[in-house]
Amino acid sequence: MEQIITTIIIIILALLIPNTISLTKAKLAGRRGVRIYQYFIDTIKLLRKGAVYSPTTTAVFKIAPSVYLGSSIVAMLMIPVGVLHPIFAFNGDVIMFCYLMALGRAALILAAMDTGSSFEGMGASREALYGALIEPALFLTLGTLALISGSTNFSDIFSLIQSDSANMVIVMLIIGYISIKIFTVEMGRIPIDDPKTHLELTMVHEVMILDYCGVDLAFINIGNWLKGASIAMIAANAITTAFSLNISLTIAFALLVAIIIGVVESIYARAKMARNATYILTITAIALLMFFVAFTLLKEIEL
Amino acid sequence: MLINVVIVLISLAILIFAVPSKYKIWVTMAIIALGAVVSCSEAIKVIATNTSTNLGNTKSLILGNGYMQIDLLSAIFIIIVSVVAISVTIYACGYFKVHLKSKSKIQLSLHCFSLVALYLAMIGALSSQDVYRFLICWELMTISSFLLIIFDAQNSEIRKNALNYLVLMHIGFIALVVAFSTLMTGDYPATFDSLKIYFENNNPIPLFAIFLLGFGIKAGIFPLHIWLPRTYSAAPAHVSAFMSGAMKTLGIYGVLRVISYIDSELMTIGITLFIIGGISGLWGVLFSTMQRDTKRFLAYSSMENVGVIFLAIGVALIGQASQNHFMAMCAMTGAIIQLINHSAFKTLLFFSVGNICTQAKSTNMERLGGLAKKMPMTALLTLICLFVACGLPPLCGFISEFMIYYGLFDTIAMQQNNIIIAICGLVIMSFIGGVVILAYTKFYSIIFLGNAKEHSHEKITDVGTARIVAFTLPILTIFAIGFFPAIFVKIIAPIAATIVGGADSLKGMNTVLESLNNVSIVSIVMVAIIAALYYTKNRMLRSRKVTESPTWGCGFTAPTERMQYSGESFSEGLQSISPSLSKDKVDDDKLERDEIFPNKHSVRVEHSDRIDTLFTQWWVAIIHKINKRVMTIRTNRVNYYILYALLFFVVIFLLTIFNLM
Repeated sequence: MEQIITTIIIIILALLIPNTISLTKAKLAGRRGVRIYQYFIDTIKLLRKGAVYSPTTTAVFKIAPSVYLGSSIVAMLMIPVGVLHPIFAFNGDVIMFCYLMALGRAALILAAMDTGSSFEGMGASREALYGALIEPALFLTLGTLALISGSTNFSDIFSLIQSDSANMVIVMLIIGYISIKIFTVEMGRIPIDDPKTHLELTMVHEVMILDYCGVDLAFINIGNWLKGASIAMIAANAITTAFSLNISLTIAFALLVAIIIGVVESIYARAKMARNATYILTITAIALLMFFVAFTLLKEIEL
Repeated sequence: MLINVVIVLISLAILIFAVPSKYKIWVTMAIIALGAVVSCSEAIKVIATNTSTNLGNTKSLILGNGYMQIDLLSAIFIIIVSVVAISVTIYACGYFKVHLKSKSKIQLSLHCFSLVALYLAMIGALSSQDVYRFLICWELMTISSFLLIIFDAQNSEIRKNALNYLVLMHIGFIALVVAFSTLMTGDYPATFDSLKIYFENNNPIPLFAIFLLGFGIKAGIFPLHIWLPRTYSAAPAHVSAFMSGAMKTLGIYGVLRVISYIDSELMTIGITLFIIGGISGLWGVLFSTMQRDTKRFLAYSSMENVGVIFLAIGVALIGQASQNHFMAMCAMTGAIIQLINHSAFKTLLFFSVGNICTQAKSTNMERLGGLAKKMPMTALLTLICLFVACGLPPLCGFISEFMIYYGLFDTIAMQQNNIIIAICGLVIMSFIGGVVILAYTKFYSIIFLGNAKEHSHEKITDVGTARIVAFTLPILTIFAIGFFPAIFVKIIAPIAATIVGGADSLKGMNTVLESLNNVSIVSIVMVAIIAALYYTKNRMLRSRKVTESPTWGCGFTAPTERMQYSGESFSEGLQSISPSLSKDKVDDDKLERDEIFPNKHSVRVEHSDRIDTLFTQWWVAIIHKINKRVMTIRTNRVNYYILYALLFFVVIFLLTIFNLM
């Protein structure tokens, strides 16, 4: 029962997060913004459509959306909401989570290259590079969580952490911060990528799926939302544990993550493509620093 | 038993020279299959009963005295080598059909005979306790693999690369001879077991360093990897597969065997292996992204795999040294599974490159493209290998990575005293893992996806049955380990325990087994979900309009296949941020000022390995010059040589007279 509630919460969040981001952006720009269920309706509409395939593509192109969505679903089933346990929980599931994300990424890269387009390769190449660079940051975040909780199991990590000192609050907040940064990279948001851009040459994620339509595009969109919700949930869990707050606030914090992304997107321009690698490596550097801070803190507490 | 079979097989192998060309490979296959059945049955017996078998003493003039023994460690390697050998011979059956007419009878015989010799030499090296016999087998391995490489010896480039291989392997061989003779000087018996006594009484580091040099060249660790890209690109595909899948693992076997006798100074050795492994992994993966030639790509990727294996062995030794047995066991088991994976998928990738090479007549990625439609079976099997190489679930590549990561994460979580090493391992491995995805998606998509870049590739068909059937055994291994990891870890953990940890640490593995069961559940659920989604989608599309339309060209209506994204541009992003490990050379003829309508221009980009370029620098030129001078005394006339002998005696005589000796 508990597991099903967890799953439902994350699914609802997955639907809410993209809307919240775009609503925030609209409000800050003085627009009225879309209806709260607009993205949902759009996707339903996509699911009702037929398909157009390029004669260049092979089966890889047709299977990739299913692989992307499938891996995102399974990854989502490992994320807890506060102390609520997820469906899949075992020691070392943090490792599997990272690799499931990598699986989805690899599937989309191959699909993009399958079209033989001169643009989609750009997106695929960038996605592969940014994915490779952000991977250490993700592992460092999970490593820090494992270090301070003493567990390698997502559902235990957030229930075991005792954030009783100011130091620990700071560490947990940095984890939340890094998780939000990982969200921006993995989901292709500003400053890495602008999902609303209209020039193929400068896109990352959007250009990879240029040739998809109908059901396939819907699958990729749903997969994206679930992936986003999973990472946002990690951030929200970290912030909630930092202040030892109630579980209902976890959901609010997940939406807060979306609002933060929206605000950042409203006030920042996207970075130059060449600067992105530096940006991502900086995240990794902060994550490494965070790990060592947590490490020294723990050693001192023990002493 | 085994030794008799080996002797019978060697004598049978002479048959190869007698039978007609068409049947040579069948005789080879029969001999190797027989050898594989016998040796694997012995090996499986060893693993099943968990005790080493003594295969009896032999007194033979050539093979030396002493006994043959299969223990747990060599048993697993014997199985790996046998599986690879069988796949390779099946593949060679198909490959020979293409070359039957173009090669002479003696060439074919020699090639087939060398295949048998290489296989038997590897089995011999793995099962010998006696040092002399080990060295003889080791040398036989080098020579037979050299003969295999020069199958296409008409090409001078191939001859040069093969010689390069031969020289480097002998440097390794000399290191081994030095190491073993150091052992002999202490009046120890000439067996591996006496290493244990030696290491107990002496500082193990100097001797281990020599061993690492000897075995490391075979394994291709940094900076001893320069032979890999040259040799693999020179050899025929199945030979590269054999060398990469089987022979290379023997280098790792040697290191593991030596380590299993060492009890002191494990920390230093562990950290050394950790660093070497990390550098090899990073170097290999960064260079593999830059390669254009498919075989060179696989060579660097192979270096990366060995790097990860060494890194894991290093982690295991560090864990052992600091009483963190759980990390040691996890890392060592992960390393051995990674070894099995590497043998399976690298063999297969070389097969598929071989298929491409004979069908499309090119190993240059940039000239290939769109082969998935022309060669669907090869494309599918390569895709499976891609998932293994990237370590993605649900296949076996993930299991080994999972084991190693599990050990590292557990160390961090339990706050053991190796946290710094663990976090370094985590960062290095995750970065390697990320870049591997870039490298392999490039490799696969440039070769198989998109449109064909040359018009001559329109008529390509897939290869014959034999060259697809050859994939069977390794593919089965890949799926079996991927979906039922707990069973394999249960088998492999005792083998890891003989190197690190000891029998007590086996109990701690239960938590891992539990996790692995969960991993396989998650994997199966994921596959089911993906299948269900794909089925639903097709079901939905059945009643709807599905049309074909060209790829979106951003408004451009006349795209050509040459406008597709190329491999060089795919990896450009990574190259632009990686420090200049490679020496890059760009040759292009610039556009002239008065060229209103551009003529044909060409550009050539080269990325050469900095370690490789060390051998083309000024000091090599000086050696060449000295060599040339010295070689003038070589006159090819007998009377000169008699004069030299006389001069030698005179010098000796004078030295004795003046009491200088």
